[in-house]
Amino acid sequence: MSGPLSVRLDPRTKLALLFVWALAVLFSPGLPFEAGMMALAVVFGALCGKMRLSIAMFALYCAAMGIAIALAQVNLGIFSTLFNSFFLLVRKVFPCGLLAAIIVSTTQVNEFMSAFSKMRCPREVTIPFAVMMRYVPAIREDWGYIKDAMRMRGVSPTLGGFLRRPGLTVECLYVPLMMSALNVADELSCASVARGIENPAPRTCHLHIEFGIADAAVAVVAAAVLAAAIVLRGLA
Amino acid sequence: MQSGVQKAKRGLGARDLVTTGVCIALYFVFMMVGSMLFAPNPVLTFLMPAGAALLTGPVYLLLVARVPKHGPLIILGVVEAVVMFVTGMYWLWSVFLVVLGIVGDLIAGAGGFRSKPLNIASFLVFSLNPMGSYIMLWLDPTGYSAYLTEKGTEQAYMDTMVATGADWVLPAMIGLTLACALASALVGMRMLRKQFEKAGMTA
Repeated sequence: MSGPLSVRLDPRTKLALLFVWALAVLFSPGLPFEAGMMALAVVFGALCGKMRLSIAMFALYCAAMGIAIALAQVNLGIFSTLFNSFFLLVRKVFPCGLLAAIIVSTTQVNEFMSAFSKMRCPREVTIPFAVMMRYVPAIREDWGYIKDAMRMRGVSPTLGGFLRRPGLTVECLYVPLMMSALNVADELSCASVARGIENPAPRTCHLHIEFGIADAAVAVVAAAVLAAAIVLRGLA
Repeated sequence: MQSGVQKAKRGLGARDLVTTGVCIALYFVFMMVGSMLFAPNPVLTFLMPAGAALLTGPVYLLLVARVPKHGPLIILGVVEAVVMFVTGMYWLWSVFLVVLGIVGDLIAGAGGFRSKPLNIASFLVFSLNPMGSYIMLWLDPTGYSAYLTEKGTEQAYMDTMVATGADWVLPAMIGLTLACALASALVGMRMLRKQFEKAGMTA
């Protein structure tokens, strides 16, 4: 499903990597460290066959950080707090965001489900989680149809249209989205019950899920990054 | 119609869980859209909780109306918390999501998930969740500014900034977020009554 360079990883490794990355960002000693994490995420993306996405995110990150450093030189009073907290958000979110995007786009929902069930996660969390991951892309598709439908009724799905007729615009937007969501929920639950989601027996997966050499390598790198973050923070 | 408390004892079936998942997806998308309106503009970043609250009300109330049991709101909090944490948001936001999810569940549960005022109150409380990533600015200004600047030399500069900005921004943020959440919830209630209840789409 991905490029020729792609490496197969155990979904549990991917989840662990994401978790460790979030912790490392939390402990991160500063911008250079996060930039390094971003670069590692780009390498990971390239290995998983998501070169274009990784490079694009990296370019955006560099641009944002350039602006942040430039703005730090001038004093803008209270606006500096506002700017700072925004760029801090970008700075902290991008390394994990890129990794999450790569992982979600290279892992199928059933792999996640088996990983979760092997980790003995309760069904109350895994099922909504899997459904959510599956349904978010569908919302974008629905949104296209809804826009067309709104135009046919002469309701403009833009900010201007919203300001002119807020009630109607909001209704035309939410009602079909929520209605179709409920219909999808019904269909999905029928389908999943038919496929035995309520079966209490342990879940099995057609794909063989096992830790391999690639997983070990990723785990070593991730552990090193987290350790470096904690040590460098202690030194700073 | 039997009471929600009795129903809750039966637990969540696969259908409830799938519905919850779909609503979480919608909630997530609306929250992102609401935040993205403000995210590209650094000056408006403090409006982000209000923007998210403004769009998510109908979805939250739909979830409560569709699955009137204990659980879905906690699941909403937990799943959003995991998503926020792994995308590198400030960890206190995730804590807020889980805690407010539980609180929201209890508030809505007090009315058996059918009391409109309590459901709205539950959403108002839950809508304060993004405050988790901003609250540090007031709870622990020095810690937060250290986290922001990471350079000792800028400490004094940050301190004055925190002192001037902080006093009115936090109450204003909370007030605005609650106002937006209330507006959103009222629109959502109206929509549920007008369209969804008539169509028999609520449980």
